[in-house]
Amino acid sequence: MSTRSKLALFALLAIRAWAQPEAQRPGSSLKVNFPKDAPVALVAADWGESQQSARGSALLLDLRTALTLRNLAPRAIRGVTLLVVAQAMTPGGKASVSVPGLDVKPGETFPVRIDLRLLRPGAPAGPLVEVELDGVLFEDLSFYGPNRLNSRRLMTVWELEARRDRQYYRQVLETAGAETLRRQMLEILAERPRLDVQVSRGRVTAVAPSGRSVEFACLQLPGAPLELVRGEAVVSGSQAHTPRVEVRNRSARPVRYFEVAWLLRDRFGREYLAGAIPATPDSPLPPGAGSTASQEASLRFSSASGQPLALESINGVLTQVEFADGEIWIPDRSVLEDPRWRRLLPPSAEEQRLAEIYRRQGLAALIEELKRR
Amino acid sequence: MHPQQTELALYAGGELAWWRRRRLSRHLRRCESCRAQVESFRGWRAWLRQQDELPAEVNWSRLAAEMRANIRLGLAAGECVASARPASVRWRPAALALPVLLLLLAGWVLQIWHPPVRRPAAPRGPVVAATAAGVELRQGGVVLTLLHPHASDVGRFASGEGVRVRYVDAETGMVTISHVYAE
Repeated sequence: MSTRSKLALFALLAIRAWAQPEAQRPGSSLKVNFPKDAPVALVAADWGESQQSARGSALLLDLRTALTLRNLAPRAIRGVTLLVVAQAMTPGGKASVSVPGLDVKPGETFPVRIDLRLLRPGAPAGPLVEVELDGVLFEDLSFYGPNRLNSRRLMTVWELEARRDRQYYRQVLETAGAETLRRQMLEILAERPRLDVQVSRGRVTAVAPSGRSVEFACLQLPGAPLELVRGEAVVSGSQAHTPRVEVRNRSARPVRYFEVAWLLRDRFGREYLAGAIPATPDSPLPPGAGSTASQEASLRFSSASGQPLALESINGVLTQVEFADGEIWIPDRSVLEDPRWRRLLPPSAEEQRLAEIYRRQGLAALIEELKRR
Repeated sequence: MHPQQTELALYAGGELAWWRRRRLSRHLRRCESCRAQVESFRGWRAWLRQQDELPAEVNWSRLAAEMRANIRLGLAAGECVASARPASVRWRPAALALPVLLLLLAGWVLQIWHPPVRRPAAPRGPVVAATAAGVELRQGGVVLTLLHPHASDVGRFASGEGVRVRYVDAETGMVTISHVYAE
């Protein structure tokens, strides 16, 4: 090839590279935006099989990325929540990715995967998706972050559950032996019935004529600081609308947040933990006082195969309380060992993590993990 | 108005009746997104034909999840494109063909007309849905889905503010929690 031809080829390649549309480079579609004083820093971002393409006049972003973060703080990190905001959906639409159960020592790195798909009309300039830090929880339960998604409370609950469950399984190992521990891990790994769920916000203006008001069966957990007085929702077919619960504070401290879980039963008698009604009273609920919480929302449930769930009855159970001083109550482990509750309530995130260690690496690795933390 | 996905799939396989095929061909000449759908269906047919046998290790649940997600995506893309495309009319041929078309249309309508089926009204506000592939937020023609492509032991949890999904990420082995909010 002559020098002139080589030059021409080089120029052609350069023009082609320059003219490559922005839309072909998904890396530029996502912006990671952490504050300067954040206790974690982005070390690397792997874009994997990410791609961006046009679908007619719409734009499809398929992002498969693994972010590697480093702990810059002098304490171990227990959990991280990243806020994911799509430019086309602001204000209102947002999402988050949280990783609980971490034990990242100062200076160590850890991965957080973000896999998302965005379909929107047009092809705007600038990043389509921004990832921000919503919060970091440390081993001493201190917290850093803007907490726009109440990550502090969520991650604290997960960490308290993790401590409770690790202690319990250490005790199982010491008192009942490794074989009992193995059996309990297998119980966690056993397949549970799963539901698909759809949530629409806003006031329900028209309910099908078959809609009926269904009162919750209120299940009282021993030691719970709130009494679940009553609850109801309008049910039609596989949908439940405008759930409402009434509670009374039977503790000695004001309460600023509580969560009541829904346990659904279908007409075949199968039970599912399907969701929760979170409630933040206007002012902290004083001892002895009552409060009602409701949600203008419609929830539609279907089985994993897509069949609409035939809702028969609903049980409500208190699963979480935050007092005005910031302390959090979660059910005691002894309560969860009651077979009735064990059957209804799903394993915690920590139990899921421990069971996964057992599944991937075996019993010895699990025992090592329990002894380590 | 775009034809249904099933009609496009039948068209791609050459399994439509003559008249419907002809009608759809006309639509495809004008509609880029439907043309792309048909090409996609043809591609899949060709691929399937090439497969003498199935791969040794097929993850059926993942495959099913991907297929469901792609179908949903295709439907969403159709809606999205329909709302964004500007109208373009060629008046001259349209005026010439109008009487003939009207005549044909009247005959066709009389032959196949059925009373319209009332469809349930779509929710007006944002909708968050947990699916096999992830958690999806639909709002004003935009669809954002947090995916969990290599997840196991997936648990879904709804509240009035959105949907939370907890799973074990197969690559990192870490429990991960996706939360999509509708506000």
